[in-house]
Amino acid sequence: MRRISRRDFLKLSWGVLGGGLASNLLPKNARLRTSDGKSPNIVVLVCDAMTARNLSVYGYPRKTTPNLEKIAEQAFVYHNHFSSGNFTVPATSSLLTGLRPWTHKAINLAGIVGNESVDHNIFRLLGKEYFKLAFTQNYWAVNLLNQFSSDIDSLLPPSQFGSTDGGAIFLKFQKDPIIAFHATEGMFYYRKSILLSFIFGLYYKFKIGAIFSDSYPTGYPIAQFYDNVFTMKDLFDGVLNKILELDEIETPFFSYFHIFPPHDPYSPHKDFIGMFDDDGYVPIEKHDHVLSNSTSQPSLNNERNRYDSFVANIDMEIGRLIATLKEQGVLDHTYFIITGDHGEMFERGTVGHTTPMLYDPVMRIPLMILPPGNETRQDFLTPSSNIDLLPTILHLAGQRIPDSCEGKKLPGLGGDEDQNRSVITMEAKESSAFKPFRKATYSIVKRNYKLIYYHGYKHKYQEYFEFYDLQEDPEEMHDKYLKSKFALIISDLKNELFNAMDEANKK
Amino acid sequence: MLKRFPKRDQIVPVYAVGVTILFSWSIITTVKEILSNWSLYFNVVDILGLFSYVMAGAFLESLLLIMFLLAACFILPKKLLLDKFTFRGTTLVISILVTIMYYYTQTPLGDSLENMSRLGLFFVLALFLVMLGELFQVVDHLVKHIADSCIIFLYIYPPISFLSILTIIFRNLG
Repeated sequence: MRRISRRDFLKLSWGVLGGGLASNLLPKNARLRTSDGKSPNIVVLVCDAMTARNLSVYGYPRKTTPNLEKIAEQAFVYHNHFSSGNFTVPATSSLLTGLRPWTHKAINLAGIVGNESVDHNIFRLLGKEYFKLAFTQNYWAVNLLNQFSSDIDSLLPPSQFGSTDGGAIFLKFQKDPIIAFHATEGMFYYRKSILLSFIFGLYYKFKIGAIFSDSYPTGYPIAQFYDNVFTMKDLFDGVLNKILELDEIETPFFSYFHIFPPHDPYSPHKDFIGMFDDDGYVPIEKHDHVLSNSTSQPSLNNERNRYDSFVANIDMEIGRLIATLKEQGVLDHTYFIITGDHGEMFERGTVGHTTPMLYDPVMRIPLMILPPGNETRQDFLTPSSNIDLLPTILHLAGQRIPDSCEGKKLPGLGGDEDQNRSVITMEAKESSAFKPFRKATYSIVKRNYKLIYYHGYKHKYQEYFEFYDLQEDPEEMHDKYLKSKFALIISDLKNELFNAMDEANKK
Repeated sequence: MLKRFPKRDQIVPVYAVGVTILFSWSIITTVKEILSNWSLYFNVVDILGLFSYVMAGAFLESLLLIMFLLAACFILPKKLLLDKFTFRGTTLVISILVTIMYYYTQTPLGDSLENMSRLGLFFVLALFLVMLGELFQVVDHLVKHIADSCIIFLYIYPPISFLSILTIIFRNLG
């Protein structure tokens, strides 16, 4: 007789239970244990630079994510989920530590988590019960995962699912990865070496930037600036096979997949190229921001079209991944979390996310969670932050949440829908991580209101506030900072932000 | 075949100019990074490790540069480079490196050499210096004097590189 595997057993158990848990919101203080007494598996899929603003599942007029819309029907969907930072380093560090950027200190380009916060990582806090796997194609996130490597059972190289060897020279220095990363990144990318950086630029321009094929006529997807070329199919097949492999092991697993798409360069498969070019959608035109790089509106629209096509490509692959995992029964005992690290913007004269601005597109990210066996959609509108993922995951895994954690359990997964929850995002890449920030942007969102505070930039942005009523003005077009009817809420938000900053500066 | 290459005492000053510019740039940019960023994350041992990688990289660059010039000597007609190697080699080294440094200061990171037309400055600068050297003996002497003066740095930077390479090997043995 064939021995019943853990997966068969779980399938059977779920069948008998009839998805009892699935039809209801999970009890507030309950974590799910599989029927064989084990903690559930947890998969986190992070799509780099995926803004919620350009996903049709979050109301974008273009049909960019038909598959996510289907998936959402059986998921918990968080509509006001914000990243703590607007680029990879602070955002990913917050996600993995549950701490705000000014606490974990990873605020600079290619920065890393401060020594005192390294142990506060999700892999360590999940304990020994879990088998922990991590993968990222983003080399700045590689650097962060290297910091946590002693807590990760399987740390895959960034080129694991790629067509080339990854090319990053620091990967050759296995015994000294963090120092080698900073040194080689400095030499090759940050121009600390005159010739090596120049040769690297030529190599990138003529070799990597010029790899095309019939399937990718505008260029292959690539982890920017490195020789890490991949196809979307190989990437998602790789992720799928790795999850199926993990599902075979006896212990519960936690896996973190941080994929580079839809980060720039936007390189969709040929089936998606140009799919939105002539669809009649006209994005709202917004005035150039003083701190923008003054990209023209036609260029903004063109880049938006390419980005949206790339998102549609990812959506198709995520749909395929989830369908297969469902078919194989993996999702019967696994929490599957889909999110982004930070957003991307195509407005106010700026493309991308390397900006001091903190408008919705760069900070609002998707968050969809598929609880095991869940069959009904739940929508959550209260603001949440990516620092909330760590306490939520620890709760689901039955682990203790440290008091030092700055996030809260997400509503529906152990937490409350707190109407007064405020969420802070910050950008301080040009400041020292260990002194009060001399140049930074902060955003605080509470209920329908958002206050943005600029500090240390040129012109009026030396010290400047903007205030938006997001319900009336979701596009953040009309600054109401000087309107007296909002004086109270503005004062409340300012106090909260400045108190938090004072606390941070004391650390 | 050796006749196609310059003599040792012609190569050394040219190499010294390359070493001086390459190492100085790397040291200045690295120290700036150490003071503004790395010192906040790393201890002294790690910072010395970082410095070692950068110095080893600068050494590699200096070898690449001189090999490029020697290859040019081998390929080009003697009159163009070999016969006046110290002056023209030094002119080439200064033109190439100054042009790239200028390019770096004028273009954003990640530019991936999108605006390569700016590199045309190299040709203009090199031609201008060569012409000046041909027209005015004093320019020729001045360039050679600068090259000779740079030799002092060969007693400093290559030994640092040697120590750096040892440090890298040591860090990667553990």
